[in-house]
Amino acid sequence: MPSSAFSRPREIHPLTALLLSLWVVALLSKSVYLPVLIFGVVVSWAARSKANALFAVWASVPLFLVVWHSKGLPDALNASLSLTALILSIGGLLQLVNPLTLLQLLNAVRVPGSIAIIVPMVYRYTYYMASTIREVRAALIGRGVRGRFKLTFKMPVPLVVHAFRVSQLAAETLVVRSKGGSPRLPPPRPPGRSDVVLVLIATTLLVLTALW
Amino acid sequence: MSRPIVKLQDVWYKEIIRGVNLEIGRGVTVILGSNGAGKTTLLRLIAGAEKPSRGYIEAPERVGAVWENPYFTFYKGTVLEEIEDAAGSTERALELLEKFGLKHLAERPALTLSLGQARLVALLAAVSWEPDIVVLDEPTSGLDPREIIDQFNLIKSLEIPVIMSTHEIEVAATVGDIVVVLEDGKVAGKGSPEELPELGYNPLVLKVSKELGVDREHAFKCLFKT
Repeated sequence: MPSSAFSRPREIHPLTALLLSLWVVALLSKSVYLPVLIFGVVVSWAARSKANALFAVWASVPLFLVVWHSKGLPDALNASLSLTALILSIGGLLQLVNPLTLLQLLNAVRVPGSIAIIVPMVYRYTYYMASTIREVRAALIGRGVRGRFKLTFKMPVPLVVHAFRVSQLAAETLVVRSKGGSPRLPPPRPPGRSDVVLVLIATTLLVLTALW
Repeated sequence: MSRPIVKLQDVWYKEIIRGVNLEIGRGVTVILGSNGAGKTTLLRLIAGAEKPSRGYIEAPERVGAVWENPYFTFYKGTVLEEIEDAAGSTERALELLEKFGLKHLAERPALTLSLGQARLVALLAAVSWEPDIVVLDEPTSGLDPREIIDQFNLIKSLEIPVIMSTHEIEVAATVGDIVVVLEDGKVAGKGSPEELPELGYNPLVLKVSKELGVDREHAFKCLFKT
């Protein structure tokens, strides 16, 4: 099987991600759910992010139940569909952005260093923690914890401990790397022809939706 | 071989595991392979943590497991509390700690243990709920020689079938009753450590042979100058 074609990293320019995110928000504000949902599925598939889909379901189901109880089925469907579409689209787009490119871009527009580094770190760690949840789940099942509720109640302890350990390690690494000045970044990748085309498409979509 | 406990028939998982046919019986079975060969994925499939994309796996329902990070197993507090929670009673927990020589750790908070101690306690927690088999992912990685010996002793003293992965030939030869060589997601060989010829189960030879496109004998000679 041609493995190389599937394992090739996919990447879009942060500007494309930003424009497409704005387009998604614009469509959702006009109550257009289905195209956004399809777009979200496609983007999540392109990012090969199963965690994104899981996160969308985990977030939407409680919302659906709460709104159904308080406002009825049509509102519940609208709210949960809207949230699923939003998470799938924005999450997928963020996954396709190289964090280093985003950092370089934020630096270039003079965003303060601490904020510039927090933005790419936060969204990468969100997905890192999603994969950690799967590992913790497997570890607890391996020691005999059975049942969804038991697992849900017992997972927070190892997860939180791990999160603290990882954040401490990350902080130490950053301190070491930035000693004597700010960390040196390699020169940014020049935008390619595909980046320009994608930015144009995203801008067109955004403008058309805004005018609609 | 006695009646197999785990049976894999033409099992595929994405592009990592590619058509594995395997029968695993009692004793300690070691999955030996270089990094990226698919050892962990194969263990996860056997433990039911992943579903195969194709093929059929017959395995007991109760599978104990210790994965790469043993600290993920702990959520109760002290070592005694962890084992007690898994074993069901304090008496049984104390009995197990005594039997496996870990009683001196009983009052220590599990999350403050060293990696070697954490692996031992996680393994004890994984077997104390009496599963039918136990799978161990790289149980000796990151341990010092003393801790490796402790780990070996614990594994050897278990009365249930053990399936473990490693990339170290010495570990496989020392602890394994049966060694399964995994190469590029496929089973490249299976047998007792004595039965397998050295060049057949050396992951380094397999890797060099594959990457340079030479036969195994030639790769073996290049590496070890025999």
